[in-house]
Amino acid sequence: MEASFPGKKDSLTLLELVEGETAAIHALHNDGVTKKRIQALGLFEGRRVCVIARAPFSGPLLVEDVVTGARVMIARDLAENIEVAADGPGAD
Amino acid sequence: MARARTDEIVIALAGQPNCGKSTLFNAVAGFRVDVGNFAGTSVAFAETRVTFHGQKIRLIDLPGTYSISSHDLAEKVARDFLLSGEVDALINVVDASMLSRSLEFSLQLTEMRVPMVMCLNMMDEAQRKGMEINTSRLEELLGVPVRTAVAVVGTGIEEVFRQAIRVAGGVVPSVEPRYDNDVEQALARLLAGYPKPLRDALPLSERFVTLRLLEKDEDFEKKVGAASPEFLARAAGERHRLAEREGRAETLALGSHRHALVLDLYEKVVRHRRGNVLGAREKVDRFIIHPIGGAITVVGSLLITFFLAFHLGNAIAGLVDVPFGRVRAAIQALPSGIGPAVLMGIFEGVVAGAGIVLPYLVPLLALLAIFEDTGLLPRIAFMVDGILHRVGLHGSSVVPLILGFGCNVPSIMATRTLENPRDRFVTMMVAPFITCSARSVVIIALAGKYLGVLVTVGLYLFGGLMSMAVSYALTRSKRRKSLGVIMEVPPLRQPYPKIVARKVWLRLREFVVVAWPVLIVSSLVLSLLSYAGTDAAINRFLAPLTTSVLHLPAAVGIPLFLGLFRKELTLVMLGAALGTDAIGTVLSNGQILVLVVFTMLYVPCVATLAAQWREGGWRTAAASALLNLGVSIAVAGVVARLIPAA
Repeated sequence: MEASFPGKKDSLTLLELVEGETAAIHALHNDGVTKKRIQALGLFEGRRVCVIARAPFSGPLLVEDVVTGARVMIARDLAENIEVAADGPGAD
Repeated sequence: MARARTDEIVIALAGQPNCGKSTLFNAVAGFRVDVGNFAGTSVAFAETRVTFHGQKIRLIDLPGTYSISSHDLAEKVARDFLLSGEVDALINVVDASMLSRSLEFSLQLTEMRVPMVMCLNMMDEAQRKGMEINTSRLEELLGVPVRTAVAVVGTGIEEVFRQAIRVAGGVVPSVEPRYDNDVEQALARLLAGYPKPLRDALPLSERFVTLRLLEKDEDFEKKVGAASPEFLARAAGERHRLAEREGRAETLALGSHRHALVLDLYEKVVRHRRGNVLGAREKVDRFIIHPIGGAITVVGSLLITFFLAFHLGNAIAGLVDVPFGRVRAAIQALPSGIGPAVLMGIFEGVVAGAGIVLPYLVPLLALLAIFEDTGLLPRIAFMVDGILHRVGLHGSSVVPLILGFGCNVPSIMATRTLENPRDRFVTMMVAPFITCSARSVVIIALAGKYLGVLVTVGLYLFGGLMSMAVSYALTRSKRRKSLGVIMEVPPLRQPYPKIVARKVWLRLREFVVVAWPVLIVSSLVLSLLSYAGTDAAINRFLAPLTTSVLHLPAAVGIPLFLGLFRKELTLVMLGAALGTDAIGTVLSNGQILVLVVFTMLYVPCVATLAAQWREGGWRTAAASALLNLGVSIAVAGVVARLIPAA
């Protein structure tokens, strides 16, 4: 499922996203059930999110939906499978 | 849907977890359901019968769900109930401050064509966030009455119910929001050839059924497939085309269109101003989730909890000491006989509850309720998840484990919120190792009094380490990977005294109706045993353990045996068994330490075992009992041998 999107920036995973930087969720490569759990909490493809904090001891990430302000904590191994496209300088 | 109007109407509350649905329900029903700020608390559904302006209502609180898919059992149950035709009106409770996320669910609900009212709850929160919601525009777009409320303080609830009664049994949503052209054209093509057999077999909105097929809802695929396989195949074709155009999996194709529709709706009804109260709150939040601030918060909260629990507890316990002492003296003054023995047994049971457990339990429960309500608990879960993960658990287990400090029974019950059976089992096995308030009483009274503050604190740390070690050992051997945590972190909120009080009461009730009677009965049994002189036999039976393994006098057999019923009975009965309240004159410090360590670790009380049995089956309870017994004998045995004075 390596669809190429127009204007796709260097894609990275949610785990790699720098704190405070916004990005759009590109694809959830998690398995079916996990994917549903993630979507149920509002992290869909297309949503613009931002990593607020990382918990110590390799704990979860705190992710905010920048439009709604809703926050979700998500384990690193789940975040690793979420592909995002960071808004580079000069993005819309 | 012509349905005979009986004098009672059925109203169902539907909404996402944490939307305040249970609060609304409680406001109408009184003291019935637990309300929580922790994602996924309302799992089962509750109901109540009320009369509102002369109208009899059967009000049903459906489980909190995020969507109407059939993947999740709770969602399927809720959906099937709404579609059953039993429901006269549906109140969709929505956290207004999270409207964009909730709208998707609301849209799905309107598609079911059940009479519906939308209740925008937590309007105060939305305003604080700087949201301006145009409710009349929202009404137009969704075609349902929209009313605002702040359920925690009780405003708006009446009006919501008035509307629900008005639409009950007849008025379905007046419009059906349109998706974009791709979807609407696919729908139009399918609906044009909607087969009659299907219409007869599934008396539901045709548009709704077709939408479910486009979403690849397995449950509906089965139902439709049974009535019209040909229609099912055509729907699959349309779905395939949609997915292809989108470059997405078929299960997600419709979802992304609905998502776009909802974002569009949202933008039409909500305007954002920058909230300013949010600034201060955001700062607090940032502090809590910062590694150092978080550590301070976690440690600070725990310290405050213990400090308050014990100081407040001691104060309350002190208040009842004198009157209880008088009654005890009066009973002791009676001539000996079976009557006074019964009286004394019952009395000591009552005292153990009122004077020993309740004073420590109440402050602990109150703090916990506050932690839950303010949203501090999920944040603590966030901070400690990493550590818990290393010992094989994760952040979701935090609530049950923290509850365990109050009482292991609610702790076992709280494992219901864990979705993964493995996590649930491990948490249930670990919970009995958490030093509950009853055991704290023993520790404080014995270690605190005879061994000093440092040893007491050390014992608590030791208890914590033991639970982690148990969890580590259990998960190591099982080698199954724990699911990574994903959990909502609700905004910080101020606690509402009414809700905190209700929560404390609900958990206290568990103690009062479940544990206290056990306490009283066992105290009575002891009193009779000692009256009949059988206590010596029990001591003899336990002697191999008490004298050989633990190097303690045989007389502690009875107190330890009674600890099975309630741990604090060990303390209550210790003085009686040893013949003096000055324990230090009979036992050496080393022996006291062994006794305390053993009490901390051995089988949790029967109430905990009963809870484990109910929640996880008898195997879980038996496994847990054996584990505790083994660990306690081994550890206390080692301590007894390490300390020469023992």
